[in-house]
Amino acid sequence: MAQTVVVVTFYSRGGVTERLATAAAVGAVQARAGIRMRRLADADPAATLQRYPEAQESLARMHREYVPPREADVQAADALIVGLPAGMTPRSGECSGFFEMLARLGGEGKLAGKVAAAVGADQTLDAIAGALSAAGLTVVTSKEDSRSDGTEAAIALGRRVVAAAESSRPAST
Amino acid sequence: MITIRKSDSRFQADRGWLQSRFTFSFADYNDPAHAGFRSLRVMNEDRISPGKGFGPHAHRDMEIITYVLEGKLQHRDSMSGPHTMGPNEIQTMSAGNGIVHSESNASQTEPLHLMQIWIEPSAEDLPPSYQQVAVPLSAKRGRLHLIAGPADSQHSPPTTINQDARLYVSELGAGEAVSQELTSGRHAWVQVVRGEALLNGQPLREGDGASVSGEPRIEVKGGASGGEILLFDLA
Repeated sequence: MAQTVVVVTFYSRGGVTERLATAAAVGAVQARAGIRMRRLADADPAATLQRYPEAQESLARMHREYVPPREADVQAADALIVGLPAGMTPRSGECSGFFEMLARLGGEGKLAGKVAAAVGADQTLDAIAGALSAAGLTVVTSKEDSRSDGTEAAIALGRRVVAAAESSRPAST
Repeated sequence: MITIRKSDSRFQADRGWLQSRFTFSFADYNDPAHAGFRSLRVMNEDRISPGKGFGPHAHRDMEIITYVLEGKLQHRDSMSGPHTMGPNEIQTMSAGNGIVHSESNASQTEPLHLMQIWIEPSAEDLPPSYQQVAVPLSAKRGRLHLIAGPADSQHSPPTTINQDARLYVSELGAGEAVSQELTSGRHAWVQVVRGEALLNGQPLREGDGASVSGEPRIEVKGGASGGEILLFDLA
């Protein structure tokens, strides 16, 4: 069986959501999946750096270390894990393009058989899960597994997402 | 038997910001004739441009040892960090059951030159770990200084790996020699990371590596300009 591919996409400024997304990625790796980590881009990176001076160091690092998700990443994925910080929704400026792309791909039937999950602040989880589900993804969800301070729970969620992706595959002959 | 892997026969990868030489198969380079030696799987020499590096990516079930020759490396992983290390430091990371990490040149102006070595662990699904220690200059000058090995009360390596393999470093002046007994069933790999050396009388230049099997003893002598070597004692 080909290795399951999990694309972990998140937005983070200070690193909290990045840590959760990374923990979910570790869980996926523990389940022997291959991972890609992608960060949603700031609409205006320089302006974001100025607006959040307390997060300047982590923002500058993340600008260097990550590339934003592309359609090819989503198409290659067996599973998507999406992380957003408190105060952001799929309609926020940094995220809307990504969720619009998912909705379009879903409408074209290109997300069939893929699973997804959300990590992040409690108040964002329902909104992320709703947008993922609306795009036609099968959402693996449990608030117990993805609280904003729960890296162990995020690791467990990463493992479960891989199990769900592998069980949703058609049996090979 | 000593088999030499010449520096210029290594695979050369050019990604612009990253210039690499692969002694063994790695990434898109797949050469069954050079797939590794014993538990040694990867021996990469990397030159990384200022400010550049590898973004977050995952490893599993591999012992990853990094030895910086020039410059500063910044490392972050899913357990800890950031860590910065320079020459005369050793970083040993056991990927175990899963780790995500990034590595980059910590300097915006100076190049980074390092060796990265992967050793297959003796078991899968072990807990991941990260170790970083200094290698005192005096400890490696003119002698074999153990820098990584299995947890072992006899040898007490400064960093431990999950494999019956020991890694030594030695900096040798011209004509200065070190030796290692290879007991029955043991093998060795010698990698010249700086200068020149003689391995049981056979000349090795910078970047050359050599496997050693069926030899009871190896002697490494500094070449005309001296040299620095990594010596792996392998099961």
